[in-house]
Amino acid sequence: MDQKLCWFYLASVSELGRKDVERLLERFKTSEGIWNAAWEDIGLVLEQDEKKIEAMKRRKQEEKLVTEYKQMTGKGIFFVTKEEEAYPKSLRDIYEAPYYLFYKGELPDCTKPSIAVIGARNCSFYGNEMAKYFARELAAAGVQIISGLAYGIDGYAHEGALSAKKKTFGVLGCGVDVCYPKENLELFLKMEKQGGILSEYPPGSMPLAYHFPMRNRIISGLADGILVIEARNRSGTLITVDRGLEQGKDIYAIPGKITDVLSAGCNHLIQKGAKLVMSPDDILEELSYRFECIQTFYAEEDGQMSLVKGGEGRKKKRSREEVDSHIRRIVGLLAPEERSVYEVLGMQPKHLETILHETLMAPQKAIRILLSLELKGVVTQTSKNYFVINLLG
Amino acid sequence: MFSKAFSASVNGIRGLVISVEADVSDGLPIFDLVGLLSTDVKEAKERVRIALRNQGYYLPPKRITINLSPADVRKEGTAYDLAIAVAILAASGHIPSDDLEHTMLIGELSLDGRINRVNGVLPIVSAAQKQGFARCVVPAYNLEEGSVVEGIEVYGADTLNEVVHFMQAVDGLKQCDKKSRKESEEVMAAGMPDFSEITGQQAAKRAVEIAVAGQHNILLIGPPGSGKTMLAKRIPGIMPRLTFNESLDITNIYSVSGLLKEGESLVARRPFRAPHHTITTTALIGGGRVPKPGEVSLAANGVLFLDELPEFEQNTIEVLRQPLEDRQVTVSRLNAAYTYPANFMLVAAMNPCRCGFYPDHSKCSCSIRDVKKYLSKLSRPLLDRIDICMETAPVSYKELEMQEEREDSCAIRERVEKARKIQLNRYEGTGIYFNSMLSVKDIGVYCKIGKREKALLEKAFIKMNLSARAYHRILRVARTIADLDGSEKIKEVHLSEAICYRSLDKKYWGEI
Repeated sequence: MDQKLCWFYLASVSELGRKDVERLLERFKTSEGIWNAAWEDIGLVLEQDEKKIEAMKRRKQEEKLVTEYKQMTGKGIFFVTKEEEAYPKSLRDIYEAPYYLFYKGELPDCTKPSIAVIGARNCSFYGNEMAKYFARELAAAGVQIISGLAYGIDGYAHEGALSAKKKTFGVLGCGVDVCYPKENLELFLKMEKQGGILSEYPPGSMPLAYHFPMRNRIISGLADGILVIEARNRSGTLITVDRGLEQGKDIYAIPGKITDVLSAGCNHLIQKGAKLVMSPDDILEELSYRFECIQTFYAEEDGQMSLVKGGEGRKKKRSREEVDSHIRRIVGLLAPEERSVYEVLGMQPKHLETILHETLMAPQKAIRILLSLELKGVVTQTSKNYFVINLLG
Repeated sequence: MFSKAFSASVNGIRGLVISVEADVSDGLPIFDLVGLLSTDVKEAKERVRIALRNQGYYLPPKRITINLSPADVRKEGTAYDLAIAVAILAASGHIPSDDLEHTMLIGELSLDGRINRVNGVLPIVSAAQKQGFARCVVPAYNLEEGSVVEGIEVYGADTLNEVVHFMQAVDGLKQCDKKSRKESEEVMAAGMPDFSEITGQQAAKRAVEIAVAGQHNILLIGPPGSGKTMLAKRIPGIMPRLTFNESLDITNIYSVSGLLKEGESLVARRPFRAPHHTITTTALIGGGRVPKPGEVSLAANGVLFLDELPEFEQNTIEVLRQPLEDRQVTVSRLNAAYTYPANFMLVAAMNPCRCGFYPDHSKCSCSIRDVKKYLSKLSRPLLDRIDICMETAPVSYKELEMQEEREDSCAIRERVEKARKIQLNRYEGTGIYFNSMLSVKDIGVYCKIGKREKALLEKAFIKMNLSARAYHRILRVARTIADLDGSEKIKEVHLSEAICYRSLDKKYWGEI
């Protein structure tokens, strides 16, 4: 039987862990070798684990495997093994590299730069805005965005990349035909067409807790750098960062207030030497040394935008200045009473009651002004009657 | 000898006159009680016999038969004791039976001959008045309550002997002093919690005022300690003053449920009922083997406050839908159907998540899934019947310290009453009393908006991803805000404010 199908056979025996496959491979050299091996020999390698051997025996039906494989590719799910050329180069050399991948859509192009944008699932409004913004800007500059298609930062990062009409890749902890969490279905369907969905687990696998730390090594492995938007201390995000460090990737982190639990992880990373990032250019700058194709924008003194290739002699766009001028421009456009409401708002969501207290306005008046600001698009409601200013327009 | 006295039973919330016939004749000495009686009525036999003896009357060793008619209505309760005793005394010649047909007798006897309090005196006395009785004897405990009814003489008695002397026209009985009644009402109305005690919470106060002005149901969402219960408790105080009829309706229900205190005549406050979230369906809606009004009826003309809304049993909450729609509850039993009023204002309160601090990420420890799970416990159909939803924020120290002038409940009530009057005038003869009762069809008639307002609503609709239901609720609430403002037209200001009070929507609180 051919090598690839033998790999498919091994992948479909969900009872076998990665370590088991590694040991089998050590003994029998190739996947075909494993297929052809005598059961006694396999028994010896697997330490006579009846459950695993039974499962292997049960699945060892060539015809059935062939039809299953055909059905799977018919559904648009592809299978690639480490021995093939199509296998992502960046994954090949990482520790415990996956032997095979299932994917929908396409695989990341390893000649292009890619950044993993990761962070907390339960993120703040600031976090999700930043995830969208960075992903959008990086994607527009030609960077592939890789993340885990989870709640929170992951989802917003993919969304940002999609909004820039660029490719983005999600690595799952379940089968590529299982949408988890189901709230991301829309994103899931879009990414099949604009990027890809990857997983080490065969179609139909459930999102089990122990799959996720394993998946994280693929996310970090595929990326050239890892951008952490918001992370609590001791979170799953930091596992990905650890894997990334083992694999020698660059770590970028967005700083936060030291009292903010959601930024504690990021601030720690910066303290330990991750690059503090204030604008997408901070990342593009690093990438431009390694990738010819990276293009960055910067503002000339007279306000005109121009395009520069490569890293030499480039001036960075200052995000702080940009934000300041943005706010100043908006304040200039507002009526006096709108301005007095706008000026008490910030990036932290503020409740209507607090706004009333700070502006000393009657509820009717403040409510009317807030609605008009929201309809103008300069203010956003993060949850009902909590308001923030719209930083990025 | 035969004699006939009158008593009454409570059927739902109405009194039903029962005639008590006694016959004392020759035969084996037997005391028999007939007429479809429940156990508590059957036991009257022992109470009456011993009470009579202890009050010094001699029961002849004859065959005594008592019949309660109409004999096809099941009789419950202990209010017949007094009438049975008097009928026996009349049949055995102790009392002249002439006046018995003009007199209604209500009371439970204790073994020593004292008369104990009973439930439902008010509906019974008003039934007696309607049936043309001239006078009514009630337990002294219930005297004030019974005296509310005009056009009938109401007397209070402490012992059986007093009643006998009264019937023999030897002695008079206590009557209620109407003057002292008025005073006690005023005392009752004073000492209610006031809005001026609430610091900050401008927006929430305003939302509550609007809710009351249009009798809209309201949901308060906020972290623990943000004043949800405090706000809710003060709502009856800003509702329009009770009219005599409303007061009578409330007293009726309280009388039937035995919740009136001694010396209390008319209930002078709007009810505020706050059942615990472990309440059963029956206790909430009314019912039981012997049907009794539930919390929804006890809250009629007042406020039903459901704190920790998601903690209530799903089934319990679902049954609220019908009374919210029909404004009354019908409990059907084998031999009768009882209708109780349920025209209450629903005030619900809840935390935004299990720990209570969402969306404050620095304090909230819930995952997105937890928050969604918590909110998904809310019943969508119930939410559809809540027009106004407001978030309360925790009060800061600065606000607590602030010594600003705060409005008291009276000032707010003035505005509410004005808005209510506008509504009553507008809807005269349509069977609608407040804006919250407007159906989708009525909204088209009474909530017309101009071009600019339409444009605003459309923009907000798209931006906030609102539903058709939300659209109608916003217009209803905008109508009330315009009424509070004294404006016939719904303007942009009114509409913007109504949008702020919209219910929880998909975009901000996930799929719920």
